[in-house]
Amino acid sequence: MSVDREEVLRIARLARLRLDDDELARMTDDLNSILEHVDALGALEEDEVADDGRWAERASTRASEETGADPERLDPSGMAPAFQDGFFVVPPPPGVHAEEDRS
Amino acid sequence: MSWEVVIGIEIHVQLRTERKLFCGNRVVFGDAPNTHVCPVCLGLPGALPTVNPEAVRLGLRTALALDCTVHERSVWARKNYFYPDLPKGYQISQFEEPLATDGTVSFVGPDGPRTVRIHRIHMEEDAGKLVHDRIPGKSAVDLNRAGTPLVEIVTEPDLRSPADTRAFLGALKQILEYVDVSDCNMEEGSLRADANISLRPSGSDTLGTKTEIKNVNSFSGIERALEIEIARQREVLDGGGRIEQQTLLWDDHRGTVRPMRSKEESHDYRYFPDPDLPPLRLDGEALDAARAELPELPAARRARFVDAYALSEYDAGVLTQVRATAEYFEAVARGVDDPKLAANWVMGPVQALMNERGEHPERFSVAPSRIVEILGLLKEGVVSDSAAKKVLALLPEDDTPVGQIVEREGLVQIRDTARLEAWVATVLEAHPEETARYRDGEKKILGFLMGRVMGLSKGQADPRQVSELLRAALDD
Amino acid sequence: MTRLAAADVVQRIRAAEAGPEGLNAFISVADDVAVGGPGPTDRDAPLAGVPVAVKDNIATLELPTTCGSRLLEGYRSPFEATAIRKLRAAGAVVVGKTNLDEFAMGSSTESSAWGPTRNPHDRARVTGGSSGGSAAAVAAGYVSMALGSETGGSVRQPAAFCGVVGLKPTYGRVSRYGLVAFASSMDQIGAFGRTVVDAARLLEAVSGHDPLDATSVDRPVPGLVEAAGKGVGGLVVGVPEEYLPDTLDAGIRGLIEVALERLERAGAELRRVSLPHSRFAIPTYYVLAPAEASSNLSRFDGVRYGVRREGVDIAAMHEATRSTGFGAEVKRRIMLGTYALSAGYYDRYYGRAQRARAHITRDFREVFDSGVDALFTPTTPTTAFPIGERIDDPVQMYMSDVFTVTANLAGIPGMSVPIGSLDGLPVGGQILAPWWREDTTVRVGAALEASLGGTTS
Repeated sequence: MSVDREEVLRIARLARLRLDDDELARMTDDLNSILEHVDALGALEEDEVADDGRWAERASTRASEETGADPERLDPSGMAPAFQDGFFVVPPPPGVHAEEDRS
Repeated sequence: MSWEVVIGIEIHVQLRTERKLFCGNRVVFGDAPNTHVCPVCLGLPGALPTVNPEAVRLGLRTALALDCTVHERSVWARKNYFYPDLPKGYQISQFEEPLATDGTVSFVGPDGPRTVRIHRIHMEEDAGKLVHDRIPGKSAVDLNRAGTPLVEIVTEPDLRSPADTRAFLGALKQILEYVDVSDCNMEEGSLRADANISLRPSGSDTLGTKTEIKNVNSFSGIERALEIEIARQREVLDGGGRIEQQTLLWDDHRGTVRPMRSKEESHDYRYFPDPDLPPLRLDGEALDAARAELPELPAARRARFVDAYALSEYDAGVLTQVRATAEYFEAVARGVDDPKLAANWVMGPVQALMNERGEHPERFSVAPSRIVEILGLLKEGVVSDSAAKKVLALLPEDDTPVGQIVEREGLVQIRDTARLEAWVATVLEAHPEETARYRDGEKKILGFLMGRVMGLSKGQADPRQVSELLRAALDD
Repeated sequence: MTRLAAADVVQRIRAAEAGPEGLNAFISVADDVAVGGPGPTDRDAPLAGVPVAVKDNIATLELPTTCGSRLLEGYRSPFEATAIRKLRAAGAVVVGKTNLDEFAMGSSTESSAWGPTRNPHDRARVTGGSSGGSAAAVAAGYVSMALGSETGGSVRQPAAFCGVVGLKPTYGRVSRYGLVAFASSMDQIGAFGRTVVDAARLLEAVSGHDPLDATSVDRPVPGLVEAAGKGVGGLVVGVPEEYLPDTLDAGIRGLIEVALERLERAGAELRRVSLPHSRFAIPTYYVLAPAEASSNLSRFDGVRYGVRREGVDIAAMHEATRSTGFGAEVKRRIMLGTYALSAGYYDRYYGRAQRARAHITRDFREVFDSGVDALFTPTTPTTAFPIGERIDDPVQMYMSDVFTVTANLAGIPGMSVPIGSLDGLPVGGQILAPWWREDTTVRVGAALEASLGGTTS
């Protein structure tokens, strides 16, 4: 299975990555060579199903009785790239303030 | 053409836990922004979630209250999307293997008794809040709410009208309050609903193309939003058009629905099992414990009230509407041994006083034992009905024993036959004309004479006795 | 070692790393004050005063935790990893944070935003990775032990390339709280040592159940140090044929055969075994690890911490921040993982890989259930390669982990121990053991160390 430029762009949007033209070409090539390798998984015997998806259950299943320790409440103002009046400040979602301007 | 309306609802219920779902922070509404945050709910590098067992207990209780099949094993899954109020870039939820499935809610709809099927219930964490009017040209993120435990309840498309939907939501809210899993406060966002809606030709059993209305936070809002959307779909379909599958946002201020911009919609959540959390296991023991602590549900309590207290269906319905009211009534009824009297008082003067004072039955400033005292005096004839109501009005501000208040306020009924007979005699003497008219058959004049006697006693005479004595004197 | 010695160590690291022969093993080094400050009063603590280097993806309070990424340049964690707390409780002194592939994604420590770490045995060659800085710091003699982390071999592979001991415990043995997540179902903190006992001491100190990590397991921690003296008499050591392919470098094969002969002479019984699904290990790993990584790295969005690049709206800010903050390999894996989880491809990639993982795990279970106590294989198919050789060929780079990733997929413990050298470059032998049997890897490792003459540096 191989991916084309459009598909790579769609994935990049989902992953919130911006790729310039060179990166896009390179990424498309890289993903295709990796996917080609990964397609070896197709040779896995389909009928022979082990306990797929339940792998992690080896680990503790006692989560329902456990509580996290005391909260380490912290003041996040120092670490934030932009912080004002107790809030993290971010650019608005697309169109939010534009719409307020219209109304 | 006539259309049948098909509605399914997804309700997000904030569980009433002390702490967040995956960390130890308190769940607090209305505090200064970002004051209840820690490495886990801020999504700091290296922080990991651990499950709050209190939230699981409440989720389980919700599932049992809605008569669901609880799954012994459910799996936490990540729902991936970017939004600034979602600290980790994914929401921990449940997807392929939810907590519970296949439940029901029975209620009385606009056209009689109804049962709506519950498709599934799963647990998930809430996001934070994004505020747009705080900083000019920017958005502001408050993560106090991030990580608050929610259950999402998804119905089958069994609802048939906006009024039906509203009645269902009322019944659901009542159940959730009864089992004490949520405070169900819509203003604080602890109950939020999305609705899926479609129309199909009457008699058809295939579903039409649906739209989804999001962001509704009041019952009246749901009803209005659905009415508007039904009208819109009907117009499109009647005009031969097709309904486009889309997500709509309800604007409560303007009372409108508008399509969500495509960028606000995330099309591909890339769900997968959360590798940080082992599957949730609920064995028989956990289920038994949850069943044991499940309080009586509204329908059962209604039936019991009819049975045990010989109340009418109507009265039982009114008294069980709110769990605290039902409990208040039971406390009074146990004390006075006259369920009908207790019911009339709790539904009447007690409820009126609560309303007047803007108090909730759970925190009403008059204890049920005080009502028992009043009703005891009333039944003994020590006070009249109107005197009893006067006493009730004083109780919120006065914790003196009711008996003493009655004395102090001079509200004890006079039942001394000699005094009452003297007043009756005085009145008959003063009103020979009315006395004669009564004796000529104008029985209703008795009310006038009663009034005179009560006036003489300054309202303190026992009216029942006065009435008897008057009749006796007149009929002689 | 005393606390004064820890301060000396810091001075020595500064001096050595500042010179032209510096390895670029550290991203940050503790200042003298922090190192010489008030320490544990208990001089009998298991690691009292011992200087330890820590991989820069493990959260520490005093030093920044950058994960080798521009996006986290200067980031200071407001909390400390559980492993670091345990380390301090044991009396150890954190002398610095070591270089790594960005977010631990790589097999050479070349994808760090702060440049590659050089191999002390040949400065033109890589250290392996992703814990290359920790491996180099031990190999260069800066410290006798260091913490690293593994997702697909990131402790054992650089240990092999640098000629030191690397020990990866069973998944769930060491808390992941404070280890910046790459692929949560495989990530595990591991230990480097100059000797098997050093690695064992360090691992023992950081092991144990942690209520802050739901995947950490409440099981007693076996005495690892004492296991070193137990010998291999009576142990059955399996040799899986899939890990000695015909294409394997003849020099490495020769050293493996010598090591096996020594084990046999020390009393172990050798047995040929098969792990047939191991051939799916690399494709399985390169679906599952990127899938988890794509989700784990979504939190780096410029909103709450880290280096932000502004944009006109929130999506533009996210994109600008992530596109400039992440390096090429991280982006590649995020893209790969996002693709593998996206609608329409989930079953083909994620679903199949989960199934393959179950098969790989079952292979190990069956071999161990058949009476095999440990497995012995080469750690890597080659010795350390030249810096730059594979950086543009991701598939080739991924093959460096071909013998190590199965242990991460199955969650079993593994150790790499030096077994000799080829053309002056170290070669590592890998010991794999059943779940929770780190003590067996220590027994076998110590026996090899004793019979082969210790470290190669």
